[in-house]
Amino acid sequence: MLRRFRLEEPETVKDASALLARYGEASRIYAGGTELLLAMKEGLIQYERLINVKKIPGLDRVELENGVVRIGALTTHRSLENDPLLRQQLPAFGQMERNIANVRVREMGTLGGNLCFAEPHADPGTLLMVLGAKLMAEKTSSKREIAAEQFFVDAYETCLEPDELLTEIRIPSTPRRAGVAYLKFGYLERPSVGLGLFLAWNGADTITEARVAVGCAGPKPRRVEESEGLLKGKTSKEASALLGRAGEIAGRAADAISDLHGAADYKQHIVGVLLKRAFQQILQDRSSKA
Amino acid sequence: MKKKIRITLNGNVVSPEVPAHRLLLDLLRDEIGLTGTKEGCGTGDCGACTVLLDGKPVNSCLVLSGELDGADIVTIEGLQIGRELHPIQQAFIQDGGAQCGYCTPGMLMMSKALLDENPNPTEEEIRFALAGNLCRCTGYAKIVKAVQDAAMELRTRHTARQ
Amino acid sequence: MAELTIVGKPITRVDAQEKVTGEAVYGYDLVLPDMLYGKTVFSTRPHAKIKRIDTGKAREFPGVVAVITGKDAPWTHGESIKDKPFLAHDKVRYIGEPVAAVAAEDEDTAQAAAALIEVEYEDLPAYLSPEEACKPGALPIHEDFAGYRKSDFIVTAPLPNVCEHFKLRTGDVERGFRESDLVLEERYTLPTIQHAAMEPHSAHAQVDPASGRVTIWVANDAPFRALHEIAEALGLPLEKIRLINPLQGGGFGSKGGLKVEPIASALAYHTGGRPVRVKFNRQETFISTLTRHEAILYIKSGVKKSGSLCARQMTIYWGAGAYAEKSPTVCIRGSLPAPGPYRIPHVKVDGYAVYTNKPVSGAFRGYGIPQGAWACEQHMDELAKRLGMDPLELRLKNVFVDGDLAYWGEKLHSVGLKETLIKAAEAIEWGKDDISKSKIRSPNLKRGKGLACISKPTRTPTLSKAAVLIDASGGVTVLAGTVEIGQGCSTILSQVAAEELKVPLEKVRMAPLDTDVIPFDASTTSSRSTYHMGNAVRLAAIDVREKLAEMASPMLEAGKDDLSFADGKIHLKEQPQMALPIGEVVRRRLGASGFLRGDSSYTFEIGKDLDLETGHSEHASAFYMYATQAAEAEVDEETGRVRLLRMSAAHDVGKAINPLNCEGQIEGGLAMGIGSALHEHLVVDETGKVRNPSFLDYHLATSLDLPKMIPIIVECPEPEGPYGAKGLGEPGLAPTPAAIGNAVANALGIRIYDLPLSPERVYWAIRRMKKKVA
Ligand SMILES: Cc1cc2nc3c(=O)[nH]c(=O)nc-3n(C[C@H](O)[C@H](O)[C@H](O)COP(=O)(O)OP(=O)(O)OC[C@H]3O[C@@H](n4cnc5c(N)ncnc54)[C@H](O)[C@@H]3O)c2cc1C
Ligand code: FES
Ligand code: FES
Repeated sequence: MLRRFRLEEPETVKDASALLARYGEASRIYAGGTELLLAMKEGLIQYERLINVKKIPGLDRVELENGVVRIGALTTHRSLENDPLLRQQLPAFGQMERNIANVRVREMGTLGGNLCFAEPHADPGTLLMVLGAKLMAEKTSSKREIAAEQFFVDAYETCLEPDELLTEIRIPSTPRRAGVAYLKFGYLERPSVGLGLFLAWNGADTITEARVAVGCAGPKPRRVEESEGLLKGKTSKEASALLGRAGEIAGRAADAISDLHGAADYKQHIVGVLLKRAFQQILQDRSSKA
Repeated sequence: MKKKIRITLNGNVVSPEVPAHRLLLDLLRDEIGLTGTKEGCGTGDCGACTVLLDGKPVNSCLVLSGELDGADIVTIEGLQIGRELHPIQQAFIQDGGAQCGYCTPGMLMMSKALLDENPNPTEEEIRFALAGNLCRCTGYAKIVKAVQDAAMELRTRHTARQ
Repeated sequence: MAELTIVGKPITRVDAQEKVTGEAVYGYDLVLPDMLYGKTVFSTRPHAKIKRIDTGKAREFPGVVAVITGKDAPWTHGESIKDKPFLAHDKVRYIGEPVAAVAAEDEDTAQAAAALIEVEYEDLPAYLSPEEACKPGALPIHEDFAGYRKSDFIVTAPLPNVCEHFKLRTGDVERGFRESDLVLEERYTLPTIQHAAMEPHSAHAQVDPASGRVTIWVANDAPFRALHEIAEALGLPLEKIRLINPLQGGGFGSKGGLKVEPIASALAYHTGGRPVRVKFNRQETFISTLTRHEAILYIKSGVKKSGSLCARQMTIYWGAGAYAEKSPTVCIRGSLPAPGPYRIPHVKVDGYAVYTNKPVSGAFRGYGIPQGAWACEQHMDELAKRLGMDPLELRLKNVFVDGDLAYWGEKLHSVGLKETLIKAAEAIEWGKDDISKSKIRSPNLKRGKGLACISKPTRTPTLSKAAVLIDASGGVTVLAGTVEIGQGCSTILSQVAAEELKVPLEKVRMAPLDTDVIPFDASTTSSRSTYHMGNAVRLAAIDVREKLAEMASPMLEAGKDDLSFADGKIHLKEQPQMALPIGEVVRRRLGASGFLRGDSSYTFEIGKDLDLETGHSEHASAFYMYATQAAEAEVDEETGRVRLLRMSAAHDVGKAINPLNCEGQIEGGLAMGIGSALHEHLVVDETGKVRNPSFLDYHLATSLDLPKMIPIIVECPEPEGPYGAKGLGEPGLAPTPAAIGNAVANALGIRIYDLPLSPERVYWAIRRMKKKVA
C-alpha cells in the first residue's frame, strides 16, 4: 500500500530539475516507477512529491549520430529490446535488454530509471562500462557528461546531484574488428552475477583493447583493469590460456558479498566462469561472421 | 489531492476521480469494482495483475492511476469479443489451462499481448513471454498448449477473413 | 456395472468459464456492504516476552474503529493441541506472529494506524533448528505445554519442545542389521518451503450484535474443521457460527488451519456489527501463514547381497515452528510410511515434531511424504550402488505388491506400484544412457537419470456427507462440502452425479459452500475427496434416483425395477420410447417449485485405531496412492546448475474419472516438486527473520524452468472407490526431488543430502569431491 503523495508533471528537464531543487529530499523523479513504487510500497522510502518525467518530450528516442548511439533516458527496456537500430549497431545491448526482468516490467521500466536506482542486481551498468558509454546529466543551469565508470558510487547511490537528471546514454558504435558479450548468472529473479567483455583486435589477431566489467556480485558494477591488462596485446590463443587468471582477478575485484544469491566465494568463481564463456562467445561470433 | 482522469476502460469511457497515489490495480478492483484483475504479489513479480495499457501488457500493481489521463485500458473483463469468448479464453477452457484460475486473467492478458505482436509464436517464445506470469497449479504445460491452439485459431480466422 | 457415459472422459472443467472471464469471485476479491478494513501488527522478535503494547496513538487516529491485542482475544486454538492464541498473549514465539490488529474505514487508515502501535519486548533465547530445540536442557518455547488441551492420540516425549513422538516398531531392527550383508547409515535434510498459492490469504468476519452469531467468509480448505475449531475456542455452540467459502486461488494445504480467521473474528467483536476484512499481502503471507515442515532424517538400512531389504531404522525431526497446528498428524502420517513402499521385516521409526521459533508449519501437499521420500529414495540408490545393482531392479525386487503385509501391519491390495515404476522408467528410456550422453554439447556438462517411488496414505477414517437435489426443470444440484481449490473437484463431483442420474453435465450445478446449508465434510485435504466425497455424492445420487424411480413407477405404469435412466429421462427398460424427463416426474408429484432430495454419508471404517506404541494398524488408510517419477538431468559442473531435460510421472489413480484433470494434477505437482528440488527455500536467518518473503527472492518455477513433462496414468482399481478411483492431489510432488537427486547423483557420482539442489550447493559438492580425488 502506498502512502499519499503529490504527482508533478513538468514538461521540460529544466522544470523537473527546478522542482527537485525546490522540494529537495521530499521529492523524487518518477519514470517507469517499477523500482520507485516498489520501494515506496514496501515502506523503504517515502516522498511527498513524485516528479513524473514521462511527459517531457524527446527523452525516449534512439538515434545514431556520428558513430554514437544516443539513447534517451526514458526509453523503456521493451522498446530497446525491439529497436532495429540497436539490433544492428549494438546487438549485445539489445540481447541484454531482452533478458531484463519480465515483459511487463520491461514495458514500463526505463533504462534511465534502472541506472539511476543503482540497484546492485542490475544488468545495464556493467555492459555500458565495457561499451565505453557516457551518461548525460542535466540540471537547470548546466549539463555534463559522466563516464559510465564514474556514475555508480555505491549500492543505490549514483554521482548525480540532488537536482540533476539523467537525460541520455551515449554509446560509441562497436568497431568492425571487435566483439562484445554480456553474460549473467542467477537463480533468483534478479541476476546474481553479471559480466561484460569487450575485445578489439588488429589484423594480426592481437587484442588491441580489452574491457572487462563485473556487476551484481558486489555493491556496484566496476571495470577490472588488471584483467584487461592481462588480455591486451595477446593473441586470442594466448589470451585463452590466461583466462583462468584473468577470471580470478575479476572475481576478486567484484567485491562480492554473501547474500541470498550466494556466498561471496561462489560468486567470485562464477565471475571467472562467465569471463571464460564470454571470451569463447566473442570468438565464436567472430568465426561465424568470418 | 484528487485528480479527475478520463480513461477508456474496456471500450467505455470512464472518468474516475483518483488520488495521485492510487495504483491502477486498486483503482480497478476497489473503486471501479472490476475484480477480475488479480493481486498476487503487489510487487511486479507474479503477473496476476496484468492488464493492457495502450495495448501493452503492464503490471497494474505498479502503475499510478494519476497519470493515466487519456489511456486505453483493457482488463480481463474486456477480453471477450462482443458476447463471444476470445479464442484464447476458449483454448484455456478446452485445454485445461486454468485450475484454481487465480493466475488465469493475467495469463490471458499476457497471451493476448503476445499474440497481438507475434501471431505465430514457437513454444520457446510462448514460454519466454509467459515466464514472468507465475502459476502454482498447472505446471504451465496446458497453458502453453492453450496459447498455441489459440494462435492457430486466430490465424485460421484471419485467413478466412482475407 | 453399466457402461460409463461421463466418468472417465476428459471433460473440460465446469468452472472454467467463470475463471477465464474474470467473473469468479475469490476470497481476496470479496467486498461486503459497510465493510471495515483490517490490518495486522506482527511480532518482530522470534522469542520474547511482551512487556507492553501501546495502542493509544492508533486508537486516536481518525477513521480507526477498533484496535485489539491479545487482551481482547483471550482465546486459544489448535487442531490437536490448543496452543495458539488468536493474537499473542504474554509472549511471541516467531517473527510474524500476530500481536495486534486494527479495523478502520479504509485500507490506508488501517495501515497508518497499525504503524503507530508500539510493542516492547524482552528477548528470550530462540531455537531455530528442531534438532537443537529438543536437545536435553533446551528451554521450553511453550512453558504451559503440559497444561494444554490435546487430542487423545498425542504422544509426548521426555524431551524439550517435542509436541508429538510417533513410534513404529516392527520386528527387531538390531537383529535385522546383524543378519544383513551391508548396512548403510545416512542423514538427509529438507528446508522450510512455502505453498505460495497465487492468491494470498484473507478472511472476512462479522458478529451479529443481537444474536452474537459469528459469520466468517474465508477460502479455507476445511470449512467444517475451521468452524469447529473457532466455535470451540470462542465457546460458541455450532449454530452460532457460520462459514461461507468463496472461491480459493490455490491452497496446497496453506488454506487449512486458522491464520487470518482468528484475527478477523476477534476484530469483528469490536466493530459494532460491521463486517471486517483482514488481508495479508504477499510478504505477510510468507511470514505469517503456514510453511512446509523442514525435516532432518536419519536413515539406516540393512540389506542382503541379493538386494532384499532386512531392516530399516529412521529418526525424523519435523520442524513444527512456533505452534503445533498439524504437526502431530504430519509427524504421524509422514513418519509411518517414511521407510518407503517396500517389504522390510524389521522396521523402527521415531518421528519427533519439535517446536522452534520459526513460522508455523502446517499441512502441505504431500503431508510428510516428500520428506520421507527425499531420504528413503536416495538412500535406496546408495544401497543399489553399493550392491552393484540397477536402482530400478532393486526397487522392483522389494516394492509392495498385492497381498503384502506392510510393515505397519496392513494387508495391501490394489497396488499399482510396479506398473508405475516400469512405465515411468520406460518413458525416459531407462537404461539407454549412451544415446543421451552422446548428445552432450560441452565437456563441463554431465547427464544422468534417476527415479523415485512412493506410496501415500490418506487421512482415515473420515466422514463425507452429501445431498443431491433434482428440481422440476430437471436441474441437479449437488450439495457437497468439498472445496474447489483448483484441483477440479466441482468437475469430478458433477461428473459423478451426472453419471449416476444419466443427465447431461450442463444440468448439474454445485451449490455454493455455506456451512448453514451444506452437509458435513471432514476436509478437502489428503487427496481424500474423489474417493470419499465421490462415494458420498454417488450414494446421494443413487438415493435420489431410487426415490425418483419410485415416483415414476405409477406414472409410467411399471415396476421400479423395470425402469432405467438415460439422457435426463427415466424410461421403461424394454420400451425406451416410454419415457419421462426426470424434471417432469418431480413437477408432477411436487409441483413446479418442488424438488426431490437424496442424502448420503460415507466413511471408511477402520476398526481399531493406530496403536500408539507400535504404530500398527490393520487399516491405516482407506486407500493408498502409488507413484513413480523419473528424471533426466544435465549438470553444469562449472556452475553447479542443474537443468532438467525431461521428467516422467506415473501415478496409480485407481480410475481416472477425468484424465484431463489427472494430467493437470500430475503436471502441477511435478512443477511444484521441481521447484522444491531446485529452488525453493524459505530462508530464516540466525535472528529468526524470513529473508526472502517475496517472489523476487523466493523463486517459483516459471514456464522456462520446466522440462518436458510426461504424465502417465496407471489404473489399478480400488474396489471401494467410486468407479475404482483412489486419489491424486498430493503425490505429484512427493517423489520429485528424490528422482532429481538420483539423476544428479547418477550424472556426477556425488550424493547431495540437502535441498534445494541450488547451483551453489551442487557446485561446492563437486569441488569437494574433486579435491578428495586430487
Ligand atoms: C520484477 C522485477 C525484475 C527485475 N529484473 C531485473 C533484471 O533482471 N535486470 C535488471 O537490470 N533490472 C531488473 N529490474 C529492474 C528494472 O530494470 C528497473 O525496475 C527499471 O529499469 C527501472 O526503471 P523505471 O523507469 O521504472 O524507474 P523508476 O522506478 O521510475 O525510478 C527508479 C529510480 O531512478 C530515479 N530516476 C528515474 N529516471 C531518472 C532520470 N531520468 N534522472 C534521474 N533520476 C531518475 C528515480 O527517482 C528512482 O529513484 C527488475 C525489476 C523488477 C520489478
Ligand atoms: S500483483 Fe502485480 S505483478 Fe503480482
Ligand atoms: S491456475 Fe492456480 S495459479 Fe495458475
